[in-house]
Amino acid sequence: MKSSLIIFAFFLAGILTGLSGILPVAFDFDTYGNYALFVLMFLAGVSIGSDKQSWRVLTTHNYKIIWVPVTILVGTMAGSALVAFILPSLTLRESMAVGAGFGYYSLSSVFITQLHSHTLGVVALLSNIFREVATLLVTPLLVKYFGKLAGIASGGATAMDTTLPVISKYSGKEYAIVAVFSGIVLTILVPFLVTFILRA
Amino acid sequence: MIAILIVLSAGILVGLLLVSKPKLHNLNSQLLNGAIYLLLFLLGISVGTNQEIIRNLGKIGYEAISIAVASITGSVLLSGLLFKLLFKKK
Repeated sequence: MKSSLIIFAFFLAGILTGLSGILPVAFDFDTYGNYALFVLMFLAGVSIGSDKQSWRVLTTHNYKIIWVPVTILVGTMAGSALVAFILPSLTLRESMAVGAGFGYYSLSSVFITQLHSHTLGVVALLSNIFREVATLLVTPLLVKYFGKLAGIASGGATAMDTTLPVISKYSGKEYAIVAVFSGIVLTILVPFLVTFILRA
Repeated sequence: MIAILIVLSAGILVGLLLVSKPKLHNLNSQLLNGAIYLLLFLLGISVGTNQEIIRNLGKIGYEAISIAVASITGSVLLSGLLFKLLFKKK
């Protein structure tokens, strides 16, 4: 929650700076964008590779647990694909790319900005922040009506960190490890999936 | 797309070499956070100077919430099914 406030503050400060007109020339994001994307991709890769916990969790022997991120992946893609049919302003690729952020708003919005457009990057930022905040708010209800995996499903990639406390509180501590596993798998998938959806 | 995936995979390989070097590991996560903050600040600037986005902010917000609600609903419904099939203790 605190980190999403910091992220949003940086974004908002940028908007206000832009609106104020104190910048001498129009800022050209795209000139630097491609290099920035490569740097970001590389750093994201290093953080995935150097995280001991991710490799340990990924070699878990409980096969059931593997179905959790698979289910969340399929459900998220199906849900976001449906939006493209209801809202004519979004194409199937666009709505699925935003959904493929799984709540990991910082990385997904920056990737989508570089790979597609500024407008869709903003949609991704707001949509994925909303996914995290909604998870924090409605997990108690979701767990009550849809079972103990519901908070993990709603949280997506954030189930490994920001929404983990609320998940562990309402689904029980034994589900914390499931949440971390599922969150790590989805977090690793975000850059691959977003690139694949927009560029394949 | 291939270039991006190669860079990402190269990062993961470098990361694997750093598993036993927590200091560099920390430095990397600070760099990653800094890069994300900087890029979101720059994204904010390009949004603030982009009349089309400012004019459509309502529509953008509506799309964002729709995708989030649909994503949550889809994954929660399926996870409910999975819970009943594999996880629920009888």
